[in-house]
Amino acid sequence: MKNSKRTINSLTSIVGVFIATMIFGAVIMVVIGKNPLQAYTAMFSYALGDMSAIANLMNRSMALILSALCYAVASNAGIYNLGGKGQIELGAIAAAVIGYKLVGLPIYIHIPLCILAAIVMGMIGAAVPGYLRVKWKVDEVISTIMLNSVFFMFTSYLANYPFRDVTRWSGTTPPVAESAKLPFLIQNIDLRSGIILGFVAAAVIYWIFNYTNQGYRWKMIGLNPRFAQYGGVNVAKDQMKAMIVSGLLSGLTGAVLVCGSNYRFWESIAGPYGWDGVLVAMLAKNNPVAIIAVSFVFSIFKNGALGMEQVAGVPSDLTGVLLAALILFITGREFVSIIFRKRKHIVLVDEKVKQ
Amino acid sequence: MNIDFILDVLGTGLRMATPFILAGLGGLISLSAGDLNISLEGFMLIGAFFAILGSYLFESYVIGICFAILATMLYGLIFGLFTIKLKADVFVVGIALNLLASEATVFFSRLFFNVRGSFSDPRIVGIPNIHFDILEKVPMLNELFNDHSAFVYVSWIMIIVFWFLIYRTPYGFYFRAAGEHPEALETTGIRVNKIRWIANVICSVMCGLAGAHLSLGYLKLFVEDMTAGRGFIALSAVIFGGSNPLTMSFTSLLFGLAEGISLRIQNMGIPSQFTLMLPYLTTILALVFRAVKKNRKVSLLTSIAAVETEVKGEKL
Repeated sequence: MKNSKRTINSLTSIVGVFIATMIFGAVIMVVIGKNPLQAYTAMFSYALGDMSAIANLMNRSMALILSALCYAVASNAGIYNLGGKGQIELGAIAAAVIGYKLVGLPIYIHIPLCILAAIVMGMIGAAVPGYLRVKWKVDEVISTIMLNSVFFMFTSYLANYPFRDVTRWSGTTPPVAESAKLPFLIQNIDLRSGIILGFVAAAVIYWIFNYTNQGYRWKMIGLNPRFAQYGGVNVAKDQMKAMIVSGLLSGLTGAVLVCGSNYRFWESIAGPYGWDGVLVAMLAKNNPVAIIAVSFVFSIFKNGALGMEQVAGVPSDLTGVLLAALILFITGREFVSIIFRKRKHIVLVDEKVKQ
Repeated sequence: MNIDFILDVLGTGLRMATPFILAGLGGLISLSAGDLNISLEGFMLIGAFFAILGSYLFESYVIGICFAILATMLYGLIFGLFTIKLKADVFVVGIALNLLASEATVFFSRLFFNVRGSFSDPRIVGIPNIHFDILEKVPMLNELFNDHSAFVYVSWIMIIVFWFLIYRTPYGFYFRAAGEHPEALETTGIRVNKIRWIANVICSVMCGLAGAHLSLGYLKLFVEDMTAGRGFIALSAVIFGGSNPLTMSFTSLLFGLAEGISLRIQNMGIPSQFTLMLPYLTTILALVFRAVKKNRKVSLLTSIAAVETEVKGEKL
């Protein structure tokens, strides 16, 4: 009961923040002389207008959900994995190489192989900063950011030299074999099956968070590592586990990007997903159910941007600005709620004094 | 490997290091005042864009630089508002501001110039190169140190200015105190938040200069996301070099050299990714090295303490 209540609470506050962001966007549109009402109508009709638009929305959301879960698992346990981008790239190149090097395998062996390779690479990518953190207290925020660039360079080297597709532009691997492509869910509206993986992963993480010992320990560590240590939790071991699960999810994101939609690897294939995932998880306060909801809203903004530009003449890049402003609104919102809580407390104290 | 090639690489390295030094000096002040600003990248990008805008509108690089400084100061205001006033997490705000900068500059270039990707125009006046007549007669130094963009020399002067600021004025002490022992500083009657705001403004201005150098220094154009990770390299230099401007600048120089070498060997068809990786890898190694050393010290101290208590116990 309490869990569902908390989920509803965080969902309502998310809706509030999104409304604030849309008002902010409307103000900008009025300033640059466009009609916000027309623009938003166009955005929604473009993103949700028909079945294929909705399928498109699902396709964009699948990688976003996975990448947000990757940040959520780690930060829920008090260790911050900002290296999602690099780990996704590591996973993606592993999936792409297995996908095109091996031919003639049946699909039910090839796809699991690709995913396995991707999650192993993702786990390695996350285990390194995780180990440095738990062993020597090396700040994981900085080390994961730095490793993003290292992994980008590494995958860029692999895609430009050993595994390059010489017939295409630079930094691209050859397309994966037919047997390494995730099947379509519904062929005629272009709905890919990767979204199932996103839902399943979110459900599993929700279950771990709320119904297992491991999830309880992670939550304890996230809230107060010293107390957790005192209570007999092996903080180092559990944080390492969180980091490895986080890397696993990044690797999976990479595999879904390659096998589920792009069918090859190119430089910075992770593109916006790495950082957008962090934003989504922060907005959703690491709640897997809220992550799914926020990912969809994020995707509505991103997919609807083109409609906004074509119909109302608002530059599509405005949505990027809005989504970045969103995170600032959240920090602002938390501040406001803190003030209100303090006020309430003061009022209570006053009443007690009067009595 | 002839001497000309080496001189060429060294000269490129000097030039490449300039944005790292400028932004790094700003980051160093903000680090010592306690708020590690991970959005140096975003600040530089904002500076680069508004430098181009100012130079384009008024056909003057001075106004371009002023625009860059004003814009980054405004951006710093947002950073300060959230981190100092609203006490939000520095890293969260940093990430958001990085994203906001990369999206906002694209949006503004659509709005003002109606282009995506890159923008250049004959109206844009760049920062001039400086030529020293005296150096002409010295054979090797001439190629190395002559005819750089003005900001390259400005950055060298800034290193000295910042060294004085940090080690020879009370403000340097205040900055460090605000970062390490804010309570102690508060008891001396100096408002910690004021010091943090000053550090924030200095950091913004320096990032603005770094951005202006990127867009107006040699290229005279703005490209989407043109900082391309340079802010993070500057951040590495800050973390590696600590709060000493000299070591930070030396690190920046090495990173600039690594970038210069990568540029040259890329032209020769050798993979440059591994040299480009160097700044990030060295930073991680430095972090590990420092952490291991600290851990050893801690374990040494605890063992000494243990021995001492044992000795005391025997006496009792």
